[in-house]
Amino acid sequence: MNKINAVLVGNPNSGKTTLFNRLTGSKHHVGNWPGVTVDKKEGTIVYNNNEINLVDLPGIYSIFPFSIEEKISREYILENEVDVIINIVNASNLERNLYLTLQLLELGKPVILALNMMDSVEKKGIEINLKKLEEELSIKAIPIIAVKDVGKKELLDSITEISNDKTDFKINYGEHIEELISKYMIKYQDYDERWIAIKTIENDEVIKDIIKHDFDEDYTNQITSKKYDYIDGLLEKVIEYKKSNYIGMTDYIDKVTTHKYFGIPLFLMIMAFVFFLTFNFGGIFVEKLDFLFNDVVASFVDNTLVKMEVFPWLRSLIVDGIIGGVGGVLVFVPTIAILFIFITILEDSGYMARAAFIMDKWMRKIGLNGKSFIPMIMGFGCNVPAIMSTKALEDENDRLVAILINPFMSCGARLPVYAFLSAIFFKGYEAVVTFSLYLLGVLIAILMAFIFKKTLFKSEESPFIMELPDYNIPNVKSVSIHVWEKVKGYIINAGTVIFVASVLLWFALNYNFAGPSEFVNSFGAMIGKSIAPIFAPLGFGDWRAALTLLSGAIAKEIVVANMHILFGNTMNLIFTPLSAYSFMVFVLLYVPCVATIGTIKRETNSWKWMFFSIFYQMIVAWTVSMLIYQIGLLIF
Amino acid sequence: MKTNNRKHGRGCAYRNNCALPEGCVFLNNVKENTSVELEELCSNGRLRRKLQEMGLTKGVRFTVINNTHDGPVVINVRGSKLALGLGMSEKIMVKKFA
Ligand SMILES: Nc1nc2c(ncn2[C@@H]2O[C@H](COP(=O)(O)OP(=O)(O)O)[C@@H](O)[C@H]2O)c(=O)[nH]1
Ligand SMILES: [Mg+2]
Repeated sequence: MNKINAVLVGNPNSGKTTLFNRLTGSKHHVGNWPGVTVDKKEGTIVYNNNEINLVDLPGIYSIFPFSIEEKISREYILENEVDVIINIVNASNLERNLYLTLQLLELGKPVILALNMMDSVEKKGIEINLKKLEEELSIKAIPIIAVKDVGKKELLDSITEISNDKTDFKINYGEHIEELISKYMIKYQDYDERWIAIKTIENDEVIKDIIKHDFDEDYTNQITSKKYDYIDGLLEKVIEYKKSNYIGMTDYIDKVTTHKYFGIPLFLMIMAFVFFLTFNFGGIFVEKLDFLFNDVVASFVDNTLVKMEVFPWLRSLIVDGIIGGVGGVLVFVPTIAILFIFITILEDSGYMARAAFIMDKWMRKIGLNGKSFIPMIMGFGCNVPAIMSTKALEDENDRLVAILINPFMSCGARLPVYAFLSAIFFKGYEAVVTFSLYLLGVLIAILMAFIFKKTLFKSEESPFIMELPDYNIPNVKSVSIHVWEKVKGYIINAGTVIFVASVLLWFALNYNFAGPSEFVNSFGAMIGKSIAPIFAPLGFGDWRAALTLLSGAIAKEIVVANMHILFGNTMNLIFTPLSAYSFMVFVLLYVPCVATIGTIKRETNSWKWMFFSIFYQMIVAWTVSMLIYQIGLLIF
Repeated sequence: MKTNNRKHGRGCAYRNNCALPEGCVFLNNVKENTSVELEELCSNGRLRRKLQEMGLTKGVRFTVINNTHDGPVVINVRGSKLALGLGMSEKIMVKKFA
């Protein structure tokens, strides 16, 4: 078999991920703001006796690295054995998209142009002369519609037919610069000589380590301008606009979503709507599933085990430990799925970029910019991808702040805790109580960001430049792939981590050094009792609450699983509504789960920040819960 | 203090200075639905470069389509919509044209 290394390169939102999924059949996320495809995605396609290894890179506007994502992509293209670059462009916006194409062509590696979104091209009444385009750029151009699988075969054909000949494509930069180029053409590894020369003149940071020069910035300006001039000239030859004055849906929608007065209220309304729907709609399923697990399944299994004359301890382990624990978590699967569907739709439709724009002014007041707002919203789903998406932020300090405050955004796994407790202590007001917790999380995040920017991470205001992509009706297939990925993770977690945690907890609660024991004398009670005093000022100095919180650091949904096991129906004896609220606040704010901690370590690449984040969140959680409880005691 | 002034881009003398060239304004002061021509980018190396690569090259014509949020603006340049924060828009000097 013939092996081919291909890589997908293109602007954000040009459809790379969609094409990647359709070509490889692999399932992963499709999003609509710069920063969703953060890690390298690889897949293999077997086609006509060829094995194509395809890599999906983060979206880039240029080969020059501004953000970490652009660095990742650039390094991959430059440092790996790439047989062919598939440059995917939004064909309905060639002018800006072709800028990257020109830079790729200058690299001197084989490039295929995939003209995506040909459906929008047609709708906008644009006519592209493909032959002419191919001729001018001396590359192959394949029209495709990634979402409809149009042009897939032609694209694969051209990937397998690509030859290694260098293109003779060249832009004339004018006499003076051309003179400089010929002066600085040098052999360096197997890079294209002309490309090395151009990068040298542009004072490119990576190449500068090898060849140090300090050229006038004006040359860079000229080189960039010349590329755009070239594109202007090219498009005049290959493009014809059939519908002049085409005004798309996007412009109309933007009039409302980015409106001076309506923009922010609309955003808040959308969030409130998402929130209440998730809660009320999810609640219906929770009740049904709860009945299914705790009544139907549990009693069926219990009866069966009795008939089978299984040891009573094993019966208790299975029914109380496993079904109680794992089932307690699984009942929230629909709620979490609904939340993810909404967040994915917000991203995929293009709305998230508008939210970033209207929030820019407010985010700037806390020292960040509008772009940092997107990871915060994504945190409502799950903090792990949210923290990963901070890679799109250009400023290192902003990025650290965005990472450190993200865990305060209440993720989907914390929702079960609120749902469970507020159903007991705040019946009829569940949604309000839960909403107040989300709000508190946001406020604490904002406050901490403000403090961090004033103390640890002073930096000048960072740039906010963001493309607002055309709106699009979210693709059902893409949304479901993404939501399923997330929900699957949650279910797998319930079947593995939570399963093990439930079993361990059961043993901890039913044994001590002397063998089987009562709850109150068990290992678990010993551990719980030793840390419980810390939580006394917060209103829940009970050993069971302490033990629950300790194990909840593995994953927050474990808190619910454990409460089922530990308290059964005796919650009322240990908690008052006030201490239950204080407990929920603590769950909201204290250490994120292990997965989030791991992500913080990876993304900051520092143990220091990881430990810092754990430590400071414990302090914040303890302080806020204590204040709420103590002040609450004075009032009620 | 950096002594290398060249790195800060040209035209930066105009920052915080009322003596703008005839007919020029900074982008944050441009009314909605106005078409303008880019005169000068008053920012340092990396930012300047980023803006240029996104299509804001000298002399390019574009339209301001949203400027009601006290700073951040949305422009339509080279067929794409770009949102620029206040930190950006107040460094982009443009000239109106009829
Ligand atoms: N109309 C249209 N939309 C597309 C096409 N391909 C992708 N999209 C949409 O464009 C958006 C961005 O696609 P995505 O694959 O996430 O782009 P990426 O950022 O380059 O990975 C998604 O909402 C897709 O559904 C296409 O051929 N036509
Ligand atoms: Mg993508």
